[in-house]
Amino acid sequence: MNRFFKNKMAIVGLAVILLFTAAALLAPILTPHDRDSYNMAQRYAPPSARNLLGTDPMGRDVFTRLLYAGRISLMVGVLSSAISASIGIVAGSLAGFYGKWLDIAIMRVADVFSSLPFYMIAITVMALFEPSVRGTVAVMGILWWTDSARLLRSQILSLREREFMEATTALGISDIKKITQHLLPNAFGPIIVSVTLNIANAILTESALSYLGLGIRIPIPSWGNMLSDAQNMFVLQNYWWIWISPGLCILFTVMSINFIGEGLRDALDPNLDR
Amino acid sequence: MFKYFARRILISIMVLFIISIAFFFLIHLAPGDPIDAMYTNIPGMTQEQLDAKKAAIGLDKPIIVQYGIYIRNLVLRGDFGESIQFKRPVLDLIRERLWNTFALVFAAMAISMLLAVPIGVTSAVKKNSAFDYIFTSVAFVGLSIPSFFFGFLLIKLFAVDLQILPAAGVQTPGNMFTGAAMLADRLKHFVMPVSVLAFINMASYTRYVRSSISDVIKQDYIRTARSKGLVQRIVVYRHALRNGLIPIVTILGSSLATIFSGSLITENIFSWPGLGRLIYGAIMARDYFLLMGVNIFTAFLVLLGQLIADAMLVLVDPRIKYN
Repeated sequence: MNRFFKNKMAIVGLAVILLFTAAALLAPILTPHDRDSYNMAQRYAPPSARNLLGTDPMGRDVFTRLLYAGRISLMVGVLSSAISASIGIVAGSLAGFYGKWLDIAIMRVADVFSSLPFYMIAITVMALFEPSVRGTVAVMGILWWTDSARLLRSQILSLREREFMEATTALGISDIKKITQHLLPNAFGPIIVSVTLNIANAILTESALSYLGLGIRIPIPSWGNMLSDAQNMFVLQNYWWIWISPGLCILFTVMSINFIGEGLRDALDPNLDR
Repeated sequence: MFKYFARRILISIMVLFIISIAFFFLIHLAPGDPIDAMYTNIPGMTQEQLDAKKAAIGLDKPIIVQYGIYIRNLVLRGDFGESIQFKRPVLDLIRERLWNTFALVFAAMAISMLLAVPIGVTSAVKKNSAFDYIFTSVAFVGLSIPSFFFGFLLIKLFAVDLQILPAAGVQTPGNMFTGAAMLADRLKHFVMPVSVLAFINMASYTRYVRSSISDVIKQDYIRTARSKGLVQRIVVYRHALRNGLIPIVTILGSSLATIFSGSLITENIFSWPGLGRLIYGAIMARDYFLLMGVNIFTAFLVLLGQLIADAMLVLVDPRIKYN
């Protein structure tokens, strides 16, 4: 029953993400408005047939910016997770497979990285070097590799003692092939779960950095920087459509991805009793 | 055991050194410097005057030499240098703001723990009940909501619409409150920032407690306790909780970095004068020494927290032997 409930949530989550992705990709078809063109005569217009979710303080169409922001937020989440997973996979397999001093060295570096207070580093780096899409992806990608590295290392440590690995040695298979063709496929499950949950976290973090003005910068819209408008008490008080909609977009996206991740975890680990 | 902790402390000191080097070079290699940031908009400054000002704080020397001077003063005299924009010792500035951040962080940690333990335990014991579903869903919301969005919702509801809580700061500006009135005023300002930080924290704590207790109640000694005829409450809170909380202690230590990070955003939403706001201002002014100081200090606190969590683990779990 519980698993059924969880899976149902995962399916709902998947549907929401597919819908959001499609909407983001089809933005030019779904909206007649231009992303950045502002119109001072149309500022703070409430939702109407013309502007489905009203307009922002610059008179830009909120619905249109939401769609285009979805592109950025989803892309940043996926790309940065891909980078951190790649670094983590390389570091984790080297540490787990070769062990000895290489293992110690890599794990010590991982210790250093995971004891860094993330936002302090992120905002320092982003503010010192111009905030940008590329910078946001890079900061998260580079700082977050330690979890997947630890995960993969422990997987490989247990896998490499198994009999099929003895067989690969007997067959004279090279180290590279051992890792890429025999160890990694067997450790695939936990990695995919961790990458999925990491995407959710990356989207949440991107939104926070952009909200602070240190992530994605206007005119490029991101759900986070659209919420910065609410820092103005006047907007917060009177124009709910400007900040409630991007906030809900972040919440629904991140929650859906978390549901998918949990669903994958249950599906890939049938022994788990949750 | 002693050896283990001695090694951990050594590693922590090494980590601090690495962080200090990384930050120092990062900050100095970035475009712009504090003197330019301060004086570019002031007309009538000649290049010679600017250079003299830079030389006065040592910016004319090679980076390596600058780092050497910085780290020597820090290690030998505990001197974090002087803030370039405020012209005051960095340590004084940190000390002024530190308690505001501490109050926020520790109140949030304590409240989220006090709520997460009973909720997580009940969820684990009554798995798949309505209670479990409701609070598992609430935890999912907590994990997925951006803290600033949650903060705005609270401000809109309690400060703007209902007007029962203040939206910003640590106290009413210009107040003359004393005694109980002052305390009440401070508490009112505390409610929303702490709620934001505590709610988001609680979500992850609840999940840890739930999964940890679920593992423990499957153990044989719990079945033994039950078969002795002990009531459920005693089995759960006296036998299961003691063992189930062991992993939670580890989480407390490692979540410290996350909470300090999270407080930075919460401080921004509620204009809370803490370390987060200090660092934000320091970056904008390229205030090298202040920026270095706050970052190193925060990293130090986080590492210290992790060490304390490790030591606490030994206290609560006699089975653990480090070597």
